[in-house]
Amino acid sequence: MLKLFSSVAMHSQSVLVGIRNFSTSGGPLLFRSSVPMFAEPLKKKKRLDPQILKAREDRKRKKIEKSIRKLEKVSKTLKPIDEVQLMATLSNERDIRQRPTVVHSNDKLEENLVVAKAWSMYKHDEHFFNLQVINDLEYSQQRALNELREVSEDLYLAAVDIDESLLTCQLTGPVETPPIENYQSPDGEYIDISKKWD
Amino acid sequence: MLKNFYSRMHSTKQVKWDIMAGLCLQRKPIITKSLTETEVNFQNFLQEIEFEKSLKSDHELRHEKDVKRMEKLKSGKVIDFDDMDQASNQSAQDYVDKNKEELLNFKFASRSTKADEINDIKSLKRKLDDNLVLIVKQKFGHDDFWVLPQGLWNDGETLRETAERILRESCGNKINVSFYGNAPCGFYKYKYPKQKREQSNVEGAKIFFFKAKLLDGNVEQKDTWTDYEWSTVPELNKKLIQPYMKNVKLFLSNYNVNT
Repeated sequence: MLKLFSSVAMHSQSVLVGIRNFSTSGGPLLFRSSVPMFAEPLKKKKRLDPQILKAREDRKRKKIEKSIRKLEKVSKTLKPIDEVQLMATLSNERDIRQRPTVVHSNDKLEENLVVAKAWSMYKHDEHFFNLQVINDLEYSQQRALNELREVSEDLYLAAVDIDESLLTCQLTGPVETPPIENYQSPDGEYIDISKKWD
Repeated sequence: MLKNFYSRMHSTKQVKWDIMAGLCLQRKPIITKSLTETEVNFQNFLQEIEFEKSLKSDHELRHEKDVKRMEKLKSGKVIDFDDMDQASNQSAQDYVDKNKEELLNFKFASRSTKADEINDIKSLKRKLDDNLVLIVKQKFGHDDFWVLPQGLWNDGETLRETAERILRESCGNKINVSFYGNAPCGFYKYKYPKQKREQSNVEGAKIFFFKAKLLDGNVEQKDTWTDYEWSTVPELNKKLIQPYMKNVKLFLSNYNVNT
């Protein structure tokens, strides 16, 4: 026992050497007083009224909730499509607007069948013709490229290079009647009435 | 025999070919093709179905009301001031008549032009519903041939640049076109006549065709050709010589099923 304590004492003494404090005894009790603190006592925390605190928190929460609700509202409303929404009057007038049902004669039905069949044959031929044309185009171009590669690798590489000027391509298709030359369009201002949705 | 084979191998290695770029300049159709009989029939058929399945429009209802009111007024029954007022207003039939008159007064441009009437093959305003291809008459040896504008490739330029140069050389600067990419769309090679082959030691020419679309402008007189023409594909068939046409036709997508 003593041996143990003495060892502790020895150890602590060696620690104590550099520290400025006082000890009533160098004994195994090692009584030490704490370092005095020269500081002002802490201010007493001002206690707020719990009701005011609660009100403040509520306000904060309400603000956040409100903004969330706003966001939800916006996400739910889709862009209105005027063309899709039917007017209520239209569905009420359905009976008045109905056309009398037409009953076709057998001859007429037969004729319709013939027309539909002729059309499907026509489209079939057209489709296969188009496939042939695409095939020809591909073949022709691939042959040209192969021949070009044999002639010169540099020219081939220049040929397969992407032409970026082709992008943002705008085409104006064929129309029913050609444009009238020197046509003076009637007076008037162009007003864009298309609605804008944010 | 081996010697013969070797000399053939050797000679093919030394054979030189001229590299050329050809220009397939097209004027795209401006108006739609007129409908065929099958198309017209089917169009009528669809319109019939659509009409039968549709509901009456506001205009039709109004017209029916007008008719009923007129009958009432004629028969002398129930003369209402409201009815009188409305009857004096414009009726649905009047509205239709007025619009029809306006339509009749408007003159649409004709689908067939003057160039079609006199068959002006140099005009860009002919055959508005068809694809027109520029061909020129060039002298090869002693004979004139109709070909797509073509020219020799110069060292240092890409083939696309050659094609653009040929456009300037054979059509002038007053023409605006857009090329369909850097890659050639077709190929044709032919051998020069024997006399020329021995003279210049060049076997023949390899032509790489480039497609371009006419935007605006027209061809100017140039000395690289003696004559030019804007022709449709069936006309090309008659003008161009056969093995050449066969290769050109491959990359002309707008020929008809029948041609």
